[in-house]
Amino acid sequence: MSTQPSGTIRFRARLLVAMMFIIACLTGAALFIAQRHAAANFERETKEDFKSQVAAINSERTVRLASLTERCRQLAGKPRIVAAFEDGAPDVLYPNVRDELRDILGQNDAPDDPATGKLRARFCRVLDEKGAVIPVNAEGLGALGFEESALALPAVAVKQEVGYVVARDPAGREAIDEIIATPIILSPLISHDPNAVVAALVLGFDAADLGGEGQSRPGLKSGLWLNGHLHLPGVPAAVVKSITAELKVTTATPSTAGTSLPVEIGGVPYLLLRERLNPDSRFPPADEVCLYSRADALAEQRADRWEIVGIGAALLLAGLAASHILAARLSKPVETLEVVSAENVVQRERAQAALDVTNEELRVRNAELQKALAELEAAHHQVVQQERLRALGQMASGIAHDFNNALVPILGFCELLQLSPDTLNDRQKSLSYLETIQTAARDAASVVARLREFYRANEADEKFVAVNLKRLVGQVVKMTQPKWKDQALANGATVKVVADFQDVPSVCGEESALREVLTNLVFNAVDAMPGGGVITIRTRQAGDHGILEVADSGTGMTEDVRRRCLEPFFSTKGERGTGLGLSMVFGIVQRHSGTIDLQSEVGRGTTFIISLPLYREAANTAVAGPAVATRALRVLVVDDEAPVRDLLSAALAHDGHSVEVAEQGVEGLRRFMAGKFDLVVTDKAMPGMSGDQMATAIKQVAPRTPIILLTGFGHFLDKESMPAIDVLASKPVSISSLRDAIARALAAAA
Amino acid sequence: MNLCRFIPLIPMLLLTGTVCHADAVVEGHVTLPKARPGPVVNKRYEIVIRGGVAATDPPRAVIYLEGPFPKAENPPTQQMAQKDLAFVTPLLPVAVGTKVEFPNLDDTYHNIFSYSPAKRFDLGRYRPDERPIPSEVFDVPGLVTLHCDIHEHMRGLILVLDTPHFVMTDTDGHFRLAGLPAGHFTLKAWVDSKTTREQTVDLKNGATLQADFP
Repeated sequence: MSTQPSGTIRFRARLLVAMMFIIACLTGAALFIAQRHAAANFERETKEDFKSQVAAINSERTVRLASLTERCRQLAGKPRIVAAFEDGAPDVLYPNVRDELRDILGQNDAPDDPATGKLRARFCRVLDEKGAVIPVNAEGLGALGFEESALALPAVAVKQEVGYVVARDPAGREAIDEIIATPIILSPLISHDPNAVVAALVLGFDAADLGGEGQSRPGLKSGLWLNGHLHLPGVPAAVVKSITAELKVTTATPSTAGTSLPVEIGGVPYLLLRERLNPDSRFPPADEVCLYSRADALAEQRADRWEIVGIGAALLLAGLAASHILAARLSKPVETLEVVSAENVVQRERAQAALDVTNEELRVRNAELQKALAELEAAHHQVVQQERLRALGQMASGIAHDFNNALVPILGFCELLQLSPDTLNDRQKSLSYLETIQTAARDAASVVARLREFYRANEADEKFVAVNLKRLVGQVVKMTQPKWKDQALANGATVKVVADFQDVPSVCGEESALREVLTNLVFNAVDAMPGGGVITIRTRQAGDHGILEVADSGTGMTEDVRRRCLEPFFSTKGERGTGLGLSMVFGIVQRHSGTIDLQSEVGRGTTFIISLPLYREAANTAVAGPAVATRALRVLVVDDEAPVRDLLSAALAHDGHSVEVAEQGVEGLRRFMAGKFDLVVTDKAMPGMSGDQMATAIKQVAPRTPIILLTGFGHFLDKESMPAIDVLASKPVSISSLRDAIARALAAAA
Repeated sequence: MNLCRFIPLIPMLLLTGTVCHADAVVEGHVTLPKARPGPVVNKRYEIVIRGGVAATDPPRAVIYLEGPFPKAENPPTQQMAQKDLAFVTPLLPVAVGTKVEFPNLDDTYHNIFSYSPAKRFDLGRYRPDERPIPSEVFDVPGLVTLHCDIHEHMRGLILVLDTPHFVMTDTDGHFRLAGLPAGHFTLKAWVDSKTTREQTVDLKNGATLQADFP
């Protein structure tokens, strides 16, 4: 641990600082709130204390004053005093008053006791019915200590009135006297005139609660505000002066009466309250002034504040210590984590190094593998090429066989017709022969076309037409008869072909391709039945698809074979098979947007189910369009083979065109120059000038004349390389395909 | 002592002798101020003070004849009792020199006093069984207001007259004063403490004079 990583120290330091900061903030906030709370409390408490003290004073005064006034009222009703007026005996007035007031007047040192009503009056005078003081004619009525006129009223008092005067004793000390004037009424109980006020009894009491030594309330001084002078005993003169100035301002605004307002005198805060003492009196208005010093309370508050600060500091210290401990404890797992992570780093680096080595190795291996793959691909390509060539060779042999087969009926029927020319007269018979010859020849052409399949999986210009499955099956059964019947018989096996037709609308497809599919399937079926058997060909409809089924009762397929049988180059026939038959079938069916399915069981046979979409009219209109008859054209036919020339001439003439022929390219060019032609149909390969050379020459003269190139190489040629050629047509060309080519050529040249 | 007892009888005899010679009568009616309805504290006769003027309520007047009559010797003692915290009767006319006793018929203290110029006296507190009965001799004519120091509402009036001839009217104001000597005199009617009416009358022996105070 002595070598702690600097990161950990940093982390711990940050943690500590953060926690200290938070704790400091929290403590500060708490202190602030506590301080504010305390201040508000203090403010409220002092005000409440002040108010309660003032209220207590006022309450005492009210009780005292009530007691005094009641006492005065009793005294003013004393019969001897009343009688002095009633009987007109002024000489006895003051003596009687003195006698009656014996209890409360004079040198009675007994303290005031509001409860028993024993109150000490300082002096007593009587006002006459005009409110003036009746001169004293007796001793013991108390010295006034102020001008006698201060007691006078504008008229005699009809109710009790309270006033205040400031008296000075012989020693010059100031004292505040509370004076109560009580009306003297003649026979108050029996009189019918209750306002028969003849005089007023005025008693002066020492207002001890208004300043003076009688005060026992801490912090509170009360005094008298009278005639613009403040009498506040026990308060320094400077303070009195300041308050006087303050009061002179506030007296101008009566609304301030009764509200405590804070003032500051000589740096000491006070609360000041002014309240009218004698609201309904004709004596000069007097206000009670209460002065509440907040100095003590402030000192207390200051002490509280220090206490709060002290507690806050203690809290802060405790919090900091706690944060230190907590930071140490919290950073411990981080330390271990860091140690662990350091180890991890080492391990990771080691692993990284190992990984780099491995990566390098992998890269080398990969390169090697890629090289090997390239080699392999090349080898594969070669193999494929070889396989293709081998297949082509095999196909060639097959084609030769098939081609021969196709030639058989042609030659046979031709011979037959030559031998017995009479047959030609039998129109029905000769058409039948011709049809068979045509079919055979077409098949021969398609046999050749089969070769193309190896090179071109997709015909760019394939044309799907309506194909009658029933007719197709009939043709195939007839055409494959040499295979399933003759060859099988030669091998000592009997194969029967059963056709099971249900009505099916035409499917959409290329007839020759579909014939090839069916042929292949029949061949496979025959091959699968070395001991003979039955081939069942069914047609039916399922939804918008036509179904073609070829079932044999042969050996069947194993699961493995079944799964792989559609792959190219997969064959179970050894040297006899190319492995391309079924893959070709699959390709053709796919091209037709069809599906192929097979059910097979070893020993029970195999059933191929081919589903092809039904033919719809709309799908073919675009193709059918150009095939319709065109106008009569002047056509130049150039071909070095006379039969082709003748056929083309006959076919074109049949369609109403006028034809001129040439045997070679040069001749054709010459004839073109000499005449006027709408269209040129030429063979490609010719002695001397080839067809495309001638076409180029013609285009230089008449660029708008459409040229059709016929070729046996058909699809091996690229039209792009021969810009002079408008349409490329494959040999053998049928009349319909010739019409089509002409239409396309005219359209292209237009 | 025995002689002293008979001394009061002498003026009586003298008076009786005079009456024998004086038999004039005055009859009449005094128009009294109307009794003012007000808060009734006591239904009995009372003294009311209105504007500093004392009178009885209901009002009554005292009719007296002033003249150079010889002072009555030892006039009979009168009484003005205090009963139920009131003076009975509230208004008492007496001749000068009459001794009036103030018996306390209540169960409480009374303290009868007066500062009236005609008689200033103070009997002090006394109880009902106070003996002799506190009394005063009223030898100065005038109106004496009686107070009780303890019961401030109590008022009584003693009208001290310098004549032996006086009578109190009834509450209607009618009076009859008999046994008067013949001659020319002043007949006065005391209505309240501030009002005394007067008229001169000629009295003839055996004759009844009609004298009204409107």
